[in-house]
Amino acid sequence: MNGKMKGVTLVADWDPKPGFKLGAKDIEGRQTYLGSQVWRNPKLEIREYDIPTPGPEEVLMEVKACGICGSDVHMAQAGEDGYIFYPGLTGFPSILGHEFSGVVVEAGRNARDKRTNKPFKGDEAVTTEEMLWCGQCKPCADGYPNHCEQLDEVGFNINGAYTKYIVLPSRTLWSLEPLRETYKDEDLFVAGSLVEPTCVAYNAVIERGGGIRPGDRVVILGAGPVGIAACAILKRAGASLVIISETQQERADMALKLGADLHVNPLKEDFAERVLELTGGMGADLFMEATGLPEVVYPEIEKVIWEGRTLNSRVIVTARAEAKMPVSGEVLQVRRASIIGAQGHSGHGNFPRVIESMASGMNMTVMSTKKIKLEELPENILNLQTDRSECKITYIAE
Amino acid sequence: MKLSVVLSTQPAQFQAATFKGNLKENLKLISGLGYGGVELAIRDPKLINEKELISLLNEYGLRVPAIGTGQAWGEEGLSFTGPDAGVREAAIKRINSHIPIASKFGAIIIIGLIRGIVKPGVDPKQAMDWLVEALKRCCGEAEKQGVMLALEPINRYETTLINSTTEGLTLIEQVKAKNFGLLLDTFHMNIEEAVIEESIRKCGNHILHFHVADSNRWYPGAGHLNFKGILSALFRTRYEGWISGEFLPEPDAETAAEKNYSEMIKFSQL
Repeated sequence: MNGKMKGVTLVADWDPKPGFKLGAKDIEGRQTYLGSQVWRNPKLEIREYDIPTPGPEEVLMEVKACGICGSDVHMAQAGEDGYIFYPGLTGFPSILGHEFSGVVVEAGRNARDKRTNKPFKGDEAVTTEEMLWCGQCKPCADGYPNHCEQLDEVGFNINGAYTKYIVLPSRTLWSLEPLRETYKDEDLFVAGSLVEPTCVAYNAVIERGGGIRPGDRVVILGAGPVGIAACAILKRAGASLVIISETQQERADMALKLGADLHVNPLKEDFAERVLELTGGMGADLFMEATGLPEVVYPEIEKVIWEGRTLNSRVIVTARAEAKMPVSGEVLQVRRASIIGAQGHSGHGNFPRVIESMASGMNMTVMSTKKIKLEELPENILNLQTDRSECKITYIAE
Repeated sequence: MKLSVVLSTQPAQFQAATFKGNLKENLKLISGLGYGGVELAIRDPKLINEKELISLLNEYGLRVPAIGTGQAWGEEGLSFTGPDAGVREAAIKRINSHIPIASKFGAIIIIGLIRGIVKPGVDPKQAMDWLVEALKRCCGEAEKQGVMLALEPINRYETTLINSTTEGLTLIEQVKAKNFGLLLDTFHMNIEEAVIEESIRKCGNHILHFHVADSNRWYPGAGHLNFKGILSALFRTRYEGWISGEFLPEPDAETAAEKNYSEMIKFSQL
């Protein structure tokens, strides 16, 4: 397919901080696994691109909807020294956007639709994993694609979906056709654009955290989209009580709408005391750290585990943070508790399960509180640095 | 994929200039094989009929991605690091004289063997100082006309100065010019680099131009280099420049250029 398209592109200067050494997978001047150590003076520009062509195992997808993620905000946000906030894999200039859905326009001869186990016909509604795991390194071969050693990330170091067309490997695509009965028109694609962040939550609390048994109590700390998705998933999994801890009322309300039973505001009340009170002194079976402030919230979680009567509590660390967590080993020993790290969304049947959950009524589309056009993306990404009142802003392609 | 091949504008001793001799015939042939560009080896811009050259390039729809300058060393002995100050000055003057024509073509000026070889009696440190100084001066001139200079790390059997990409990257730090970078050549890298793909990754956006030749300096495919891996690594650096064939005219120039084209085009979807 010939033609041009516009793409919201992040541009930044390669200006490594003193002492930075090119990592084993970094590319001089182009790509690094330590974004905040290298990239300076980020800018969002709308640039023009050729429509890309799919290779034999790839698919050309027309983008229909794409959500703005916190990492988009942090890539475009600089501290006083000019360096970007986002600490991870980045390669600029790149079109941003990685939570998206669309339809298949053109497929390479070896591209297969996993839903039918046949070649794509065209026009299928699809979403994709954001992590393009290689399938060849040891972690991939061992079944841990979220820890791929040759990872590319859509909208981070390769072009993403704040545009009209994108080429993706068919191995990371998932059919959204099961959603067609439940979601109509635009809603189908908005739901599809929420699959990726919901899979991050699913991977954390179900795959990594081991899930729950019906009747378990859970506490989710942080009502960002991933924390909210965790509330929805765990409620459907049979939690007897889902507590959301969040400082911002709009976000807490969204969590309550999607599955949380009770809200604790740690700025207004004592988190540990309140959780113990709400659980009759029992505490919780599962805690999810989704705030990015582990040094602040972990001591509180630990207090609930120590003073509560629940054994075998699990703490799932989901949000990224540079700060260390202050952990008392004795609490883990005495309470048979454990801390588990969770990263990514790929593999383990996460995507198809989330899509089926959405098809059978786990409606996440209410999270999308604002719909915008491509030209409005830069200002909205920048506004999110200070304004957290919208839950999820979604770019709807025209 | 932007493919070009090296053509010497004068008769030359340099063996790996794929095409030598009649300009018009060669340009016609190169264009006919499908190439979009021709890398010109020019000993001295004074010896060029610029008007005729431009009209021929237009006639055959060929761009000039880069200009090779090594013949001034090979045929005349000009060098940035010769013990004779007059020779060093003449070399700088010669490179500067390429700038106007390079600017017209939008071509990169290649710093190959014109950097010289450390001669007996010359302190290698002194030679490096002369090299850095010469490059700074030439880059300063070139910058005024928006021209880039690319130094080619050349294997140890051909020069003593800057054999590897690591040395090339150190030189970049010393020259400190925005319009200075590297030309990587797969033939030299095969001799000097531990892992060619790794070296490409480390050179990243400093790669301004790229030469292909196989391990035996024949056309790609005639030796044992893994061009799929090499070009994948190159494209991962977001290299958007030209892939220029600089190989021996074996078994003959036309066959070599034809084989190179068909080998390279296989990788256009990497």
